[in-house]
Amino acid sequence: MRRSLEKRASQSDKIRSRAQLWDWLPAIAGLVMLSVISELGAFGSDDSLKLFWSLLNLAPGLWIVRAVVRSLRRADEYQRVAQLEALAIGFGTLIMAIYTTGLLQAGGVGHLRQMVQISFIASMLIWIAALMFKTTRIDEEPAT
Amino acid sequence: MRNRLRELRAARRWSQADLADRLDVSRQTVNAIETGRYDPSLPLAFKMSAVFEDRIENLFFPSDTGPEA
Repeated sequence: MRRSLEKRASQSDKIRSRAQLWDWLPAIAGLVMLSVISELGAFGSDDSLKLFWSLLNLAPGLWIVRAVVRSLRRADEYQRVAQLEALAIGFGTLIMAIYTTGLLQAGGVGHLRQMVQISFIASMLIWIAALMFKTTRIDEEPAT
Repeated sequence: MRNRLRELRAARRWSQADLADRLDVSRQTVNAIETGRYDPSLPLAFKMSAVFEDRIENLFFPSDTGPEA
């Protein structure tokens, strides 16, 4: 029978998790809020202020860059390697998704804004999944 | 590279989180090193040496040598 892995996080795990939450929360909240406003067409986002609301997405985007850099600086050496590999996978996915979106748009298929949003969210999810896969703890205790 | 971290940690009745606290790293890092998925940097290896009060060469071995090879 395999021994179950302990649940208690180390002190550095707790500190990093808490700091990451506060780094990421404003950006994610901002992106969700802007997506809802754009989808509903509220506050002139589908009319006179379309350019303003579209460019406003850069603010949470830059906040994400800040959060990623801070997370990398805070990480220990193994986590940093795992994070960079996961980032590379997520980045590659995003490039291919945006390229495909461009080709589909050139062919007159799909709605550009939704496809960009899907590409962005899918890349983020793949990035997170890759990081979780890389840092999964395994138990190699011999069977008893 | 192989190592004796799990054995030394078990002898002291420390959990992976206990060792991670002493090394100021995450549990994932301790787990990855113990299971041979990651080889630590020299500074971290020295830190482990200090924590276990043993020489680095008694903690880490090339894959083809060591106490069980």
